[in-house]
Amino acid sequence: VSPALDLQVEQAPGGALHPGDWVRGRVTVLGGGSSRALKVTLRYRERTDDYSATAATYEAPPLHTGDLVARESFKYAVQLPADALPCHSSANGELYWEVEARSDELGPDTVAQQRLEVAVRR
Amino acid sequence: VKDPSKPGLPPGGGTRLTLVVTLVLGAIAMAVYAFVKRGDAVNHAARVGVTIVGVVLPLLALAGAYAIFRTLFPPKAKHLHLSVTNPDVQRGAEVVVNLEIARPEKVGDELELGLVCTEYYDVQTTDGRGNKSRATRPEVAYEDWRPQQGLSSNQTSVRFQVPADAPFSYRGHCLSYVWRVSAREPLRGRFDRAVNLPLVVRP
Repeated sequence: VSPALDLQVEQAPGGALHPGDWVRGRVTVLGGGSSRALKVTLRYRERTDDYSATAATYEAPPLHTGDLVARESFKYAVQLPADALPCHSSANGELYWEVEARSDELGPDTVAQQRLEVAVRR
Repeated sequence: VKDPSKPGLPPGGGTRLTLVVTLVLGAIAMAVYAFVKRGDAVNHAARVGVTIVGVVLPLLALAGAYAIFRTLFPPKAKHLHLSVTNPDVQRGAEVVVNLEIARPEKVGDELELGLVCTEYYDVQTTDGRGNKSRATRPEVAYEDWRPQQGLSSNQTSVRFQVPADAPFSYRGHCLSYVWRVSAREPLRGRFDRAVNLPLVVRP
């Protein structure tokens, strides 16, 4: 049985995160299941109407190894790189950051994602 | 993340260059085939037909190849020299573009200096048989063209401002933003002569 995950992100003071900021939050296990590890990563993503790609990935050490039990909760903190590019949206595509919680499983992984608002400091 | 300051073909340029080479080789092959097989034609009319096909199809293929090639490499305005005081700027900063005209008599009335950002994005295309393929399309994300008529000297400087909310230089897998400063002479019915200088716009 695959676990069910809920991913929450702490709101940045001012709304948007900036390069070098820490992304903090909590992953809650809504339904228990088999898992090899629970990981949180930051990803810089590209998307057009037809395609998407991951340009960069920043992974934190695993939050947990082994099966996940319902109502377990794990805090995470991953730092954005100091030279992190900001989010940008245009007519035909967008660049954005997302935080992803992934339960590494035999077979398809269980994934929960949240978008992040990252802007440069002015 | 790829370094946007590295020179090279625009995104999707490799595919277009491959298409150009394929069209040129195809044109040569068609012409040679038609020339060699002309003698095998059953009668005079067939011989004329093969000759026409052997001339017209390669010419169409070569015209297509030229048109695609010119989207990658526009004709150079060799009498214009462009320079930028700072080719690596932040969004919101000013860019000073210097234009030097080597041969003023060659400059038309429609000379323009511009700051341009082109967005290259991948799309899925489907041909008549339902085969899907990936193509990179360009679209202007930002442009600011300034006409340069009636220049009193062979040199001029124009200040452009990169908008603070404009895209930044980025070379990605399916989405890219490429900045340039450009001097162009629009020509009716022909490819504009232009000089382009890459510009790196940091976030």
